[in-house]
Amino acid sequence: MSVRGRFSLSMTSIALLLACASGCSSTSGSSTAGKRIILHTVAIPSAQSTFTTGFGWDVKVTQAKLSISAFYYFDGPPPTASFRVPRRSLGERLSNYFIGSAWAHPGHYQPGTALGEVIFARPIVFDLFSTGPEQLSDGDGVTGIYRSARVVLPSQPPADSILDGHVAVIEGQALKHGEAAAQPIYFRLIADFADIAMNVNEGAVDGCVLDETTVIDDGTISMSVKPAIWLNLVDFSKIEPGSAERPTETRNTGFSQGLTQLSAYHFTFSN
Amino acid sequence: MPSVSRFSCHRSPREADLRLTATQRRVRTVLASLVLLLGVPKVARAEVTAPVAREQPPPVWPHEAPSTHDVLVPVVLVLDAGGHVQSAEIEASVDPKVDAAAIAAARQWRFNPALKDGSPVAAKVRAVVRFAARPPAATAAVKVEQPVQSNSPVTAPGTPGVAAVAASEATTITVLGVRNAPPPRSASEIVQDKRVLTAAPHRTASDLLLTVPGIALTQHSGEGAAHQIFFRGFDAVHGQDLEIWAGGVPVNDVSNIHSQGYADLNFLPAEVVKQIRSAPGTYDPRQGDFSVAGTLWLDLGYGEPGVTARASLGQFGSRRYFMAYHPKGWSDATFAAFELYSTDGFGPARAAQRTSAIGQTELQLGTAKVRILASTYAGSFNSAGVLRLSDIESGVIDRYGSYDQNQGGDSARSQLAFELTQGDDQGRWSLSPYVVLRSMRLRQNFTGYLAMPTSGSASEVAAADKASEQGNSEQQTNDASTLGMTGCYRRTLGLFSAADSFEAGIFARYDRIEQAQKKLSVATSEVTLDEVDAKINATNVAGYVDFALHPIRRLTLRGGLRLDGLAYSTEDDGGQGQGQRRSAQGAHLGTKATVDVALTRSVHALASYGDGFRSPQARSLQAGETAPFTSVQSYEAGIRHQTRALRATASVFRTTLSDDLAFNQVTARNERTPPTRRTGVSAEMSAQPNSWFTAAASITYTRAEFTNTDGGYNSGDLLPYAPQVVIRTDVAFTPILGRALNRPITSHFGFGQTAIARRPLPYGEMGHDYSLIDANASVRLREVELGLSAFNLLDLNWYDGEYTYASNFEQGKAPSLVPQRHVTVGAPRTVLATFTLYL
Amino acid sequence: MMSGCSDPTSQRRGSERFTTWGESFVEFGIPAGDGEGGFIDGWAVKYRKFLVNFHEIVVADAAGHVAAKLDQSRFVDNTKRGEKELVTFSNLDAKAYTLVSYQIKPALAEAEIVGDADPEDLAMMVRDGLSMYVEGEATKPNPDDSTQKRTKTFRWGFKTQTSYLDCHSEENGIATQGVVVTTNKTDTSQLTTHGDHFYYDSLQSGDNAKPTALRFEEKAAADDGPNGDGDGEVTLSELCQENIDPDVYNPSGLPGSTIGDFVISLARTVGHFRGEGECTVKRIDPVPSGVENPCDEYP
Repeated sequence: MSVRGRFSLSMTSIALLLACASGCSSTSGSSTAGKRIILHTVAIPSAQSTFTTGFGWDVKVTQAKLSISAFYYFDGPPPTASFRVPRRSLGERLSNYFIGSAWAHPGHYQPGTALGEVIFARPIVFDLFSTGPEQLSDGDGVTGIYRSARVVLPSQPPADSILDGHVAVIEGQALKHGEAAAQPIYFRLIADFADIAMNVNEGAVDGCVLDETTVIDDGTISMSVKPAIWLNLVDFSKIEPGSAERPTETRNTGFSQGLTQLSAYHFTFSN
Repeated sequence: MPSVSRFSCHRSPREADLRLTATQRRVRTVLASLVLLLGVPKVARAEVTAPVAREQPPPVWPHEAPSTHDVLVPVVLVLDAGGHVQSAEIEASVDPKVDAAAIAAARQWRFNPALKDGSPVAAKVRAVVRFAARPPAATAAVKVEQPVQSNSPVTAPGTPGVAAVAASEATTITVLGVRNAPPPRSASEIVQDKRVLTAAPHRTASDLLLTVPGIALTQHSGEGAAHQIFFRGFDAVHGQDLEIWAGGVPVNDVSNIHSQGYADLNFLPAEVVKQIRSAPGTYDPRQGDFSVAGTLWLDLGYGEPGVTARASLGQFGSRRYFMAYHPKGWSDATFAAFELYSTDGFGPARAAQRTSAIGQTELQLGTAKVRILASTYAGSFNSAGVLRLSDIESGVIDRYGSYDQNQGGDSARSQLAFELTQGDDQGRWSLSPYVVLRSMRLRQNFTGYLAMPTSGSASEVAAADKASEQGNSEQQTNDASTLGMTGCYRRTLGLFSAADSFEAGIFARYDRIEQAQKKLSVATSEVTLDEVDAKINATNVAGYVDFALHPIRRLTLRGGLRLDGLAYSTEDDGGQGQGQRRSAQGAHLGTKATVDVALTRSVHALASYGDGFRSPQARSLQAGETAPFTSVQSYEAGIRHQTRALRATASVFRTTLSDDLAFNQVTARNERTPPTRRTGVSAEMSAQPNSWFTAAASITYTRAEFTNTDGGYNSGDLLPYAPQVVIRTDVAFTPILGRALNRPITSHFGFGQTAIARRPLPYGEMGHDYSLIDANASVRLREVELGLSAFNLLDLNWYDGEYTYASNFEQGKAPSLVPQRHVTVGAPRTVLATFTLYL
Repeated sequence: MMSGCSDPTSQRRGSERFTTWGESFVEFGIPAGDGEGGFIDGWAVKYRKFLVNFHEIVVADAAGHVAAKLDQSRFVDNTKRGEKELVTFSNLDAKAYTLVSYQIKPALAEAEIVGDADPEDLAMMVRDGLSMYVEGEATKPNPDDSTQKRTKTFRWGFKTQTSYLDCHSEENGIATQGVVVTTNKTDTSQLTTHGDHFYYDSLQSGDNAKPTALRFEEKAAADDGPNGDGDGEVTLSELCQENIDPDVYNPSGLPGSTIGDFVISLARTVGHFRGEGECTVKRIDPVPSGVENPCDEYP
């Protein structure tokens, strides 16, 4: 056989081998793990405007606004996690996670792997008692098990008419529980980034609960805020009572700290 | 004479031909010899025995294009009483260069001296030096002719001249040139020789690796750093899974802080690599640590006789000066070379310089052969680092820009190696000690200002986060001294056939390493965090036995065992280490077996199996831990066709690992993963049908997947990063364009093409495919050569490396934490003009 | 990064020994200091009793196969000097075991008493259903007159049921999950009790802008204040009536508005592993309905 003939024979056998390889390969999984997804973001108005705080005040909120610069979603379980099967190593998933009633587990919250995020080009202003859910800009992420979230409060909030450049504002009236006859305290509490920075670094509230979901495709993340947590440790007796038309505008460390409590923010995922 | 590759035990003729020819010593030639005494009248005949050739190394084709037919050069030799060739003269000239090569070859011949009355005497003989058409297997034919009836007085001082009558049998014995490589252990084990290595232009010896079928390279740390190597579905990082030897000295750095097995080949000028033998898989007991995907042996040699002085000037301020010397008449293993290179780089932060010098010689000392190799190298380079793909696509940063221009590093290597070989094909032993001094510094910034996940106490985590605020510019330094030795003994066995052989060998390597990693501030380069400060003593000792048996005709069985012992002792004073010394040891026994069936004279079918290991980074080991070896099993089956003009191979292969490492997008480091399996097909061919055309082509397809579900990886998912399809073509034409000034005008037109396709990336994505062409053209007349090379001839906008992980290069802004694609940008078209003087 | 590789047919065996120790904070007390090494507000605490009931120490490999398990409970008083052995598991395959866990649960009468712990203390724990009990004295010198000082005593019993899972630590700078048993050697894992955690001023030692500090002043104020009886003993119920000052204390998103909530929550973080190592802290028993804050379970 000539050199050329032998050469073509070899190429034929090569072609046959190649054809076999692609056909004979295993059919399971033709790509790497996971995929990229789009996460729509929706802010849900708060359900409760009337509540009793941990310090024993009955509060009725008339207005509450918060400015936010970003959300991040993680696979690490939040500190308020209940039963769980142990992690195996950094970056690995848990399985059989089931949320019993939330309880505290003080210690280290480990965010784990960042699975998704929405970084607003300009910090948004969220009205906690708006008439309906507010569509925010889309975020991006990857598939995985979503368990917790981070809320980032901006260092330069926008100059909204109510917010007036503060990170958060809450207005309402408070009455000591059991003293219905007393004069309510009309309050307007404000907090700036400097107040927030006393409790958290870079405005990041870590470890917020995201109801655990195995995310496999695009979907929507809904966020809601519990103003009851914001005001839980506010001692209203220290606030000068204003009037309904002109409530006392004041800062309060209980409020600034309340804004940084992970239990004030709740996230869920839906398709 | 071909130079010796790593173990000289393997410098034996092709086994199939052993049956045809005896060794050179057994070549029996009857030569006419004449001893004439001046003025002695005819007397009764004395008893004269003609000289018998004992060793006849074949001649080496001169560097110019060899002829397409055999060339015979008649010579007259004068032998002394010891059988050495005292002088050799051309009887009829063919061509000055060929003449010189014939003389050089003949001078090395050894004879059993002529005997007169039982005593050795000097003699004069006529012989023919034959150059065969195919250079590597040059043959030497000695044709015996009529005894020389010369009237001129001849030597033999003091002894009466005798008209000797020799029984002149014109026996032509063909002595086949010795092969440079041992018989292949798998269908896809091949040798890329000088013609393929020089077909396309190559910048460094590291670039030469592209000619090996299945290899793809990327560069993410600057032009002087080691490439990241992908081979048959393996992300071998910088050499973690590819064992590389050059000149009999290991190139991989043990436990290098940047990457296990870091192999920096920039110390070799591309011109001094004579051939690359590639052994994919782990089928050979000579393959040891790092040979997870395979082993490459680079043989060094330079054959252009005299002085070569070369200057190249090119775009982007590229300048290269190369000088080499190779003495005429010596084998190409003896040479010295020097290189100086600098470039401004094709974009900001890409300048590089290097300088290296290397010398090697091969000497005959009595019956032993000695090779000495010495080299030294230093290089420094700047690196632009990686860019976020979204930033390039949205125009935030220029393609050739950089987030941190302080990246780069330097590297140095000095080495000294000896190799002593003694023996013949019945029994040969070889010993090769070496010393290597290495030093490396890298500075890179892959993640910007992102706080990286760290373990440790709250204060340690806080300190790490604080350091990240000033930027994650990591400085890694690694200084290592290596002392090692390889040795082997080989002999024929004669179990089933005369060609059966047995080889036993040892390998020893001791490394003393000092390494450190510090985080630096991007703005001020001050140290913000001391992460690693370690001293490591690593020892690897191995012994192997290897058999080659020929139980029946056409069937060869090769197999062996290799036992490796590894010991590591680490002391880490930096970061969270407290200075305790901890040590770990382990052993691995590997079985290797190959069945080789000769279907026809030139076609063989092979099936191979081998089990090997991947060693860990010393710092990751706990005290007293049995060094965890990842166990590697390779299987391959294929066919080979090999003749002088053409080599073609095709094979299917599979490699399984008991656990693996993959670049983790969260920690931006290689982390342990579940076990994996790589299955693939490879086909390659290399054709050299005549002296002016060379073509080599290969295509490799591999599918790498996980075989278990754990830690975020599912069984069946692809491993990210290693490209699935790698194609390479090397083509060269070297015609003689004409004649001028009484000499031929030789030329070289060549190109090389590398294409990769289907690079799996995390999250179900695929990286960019590319196909690059490098080309060169040169013309030479006598001592002057002019050339032009172009890399990335079509000026393709391509991405060299692609990685998925999270980074944040904008200080103060809310970072993006979801892993995104990062790329290193490939070089645009670069043209170099070369001027060479051959003196 | 543990590989857990071993040859299943090998005969190499070793042992794992579990001990407990209170460190100097429990044995000798917690001085005044910078907030991390001592109380930031000038107080100092000395323990008279530090009773802990350990349960169910488990050693399992990465696949979940349990190699050794201690089902009985061990009762210990860590104010007694020195490291005390709880149990030794011998004849274990020499390899890495990445799933190591233990529990602190209410004492059982048949618990084995470790070291010099007082059997009467055990009886008290069983009777009151306690898993941990600390008793001691806190003092703060008067800045104007060094001979004078304020003193408060305390006797706090906790009913918490906590499991400590996936224990991990750092050995020689390497983050290690679980333990590594080596041939013919006994590896020791110390279940360290950190006696200072009760006094932290935040419930999460994470990314706090303010470093967490040890404080006693507010605990003392619980006895002195309007809700306390001023008898010199700070009780849990007094603590449960003392609201926290958000300027000083941060519940870090966890339930609680009183000092008592803090102390009870922090009691769960006392258990550690091999010194500074930690485990995943998990509440074993379900939260009863109607209970919102930790103090609600301590009437």
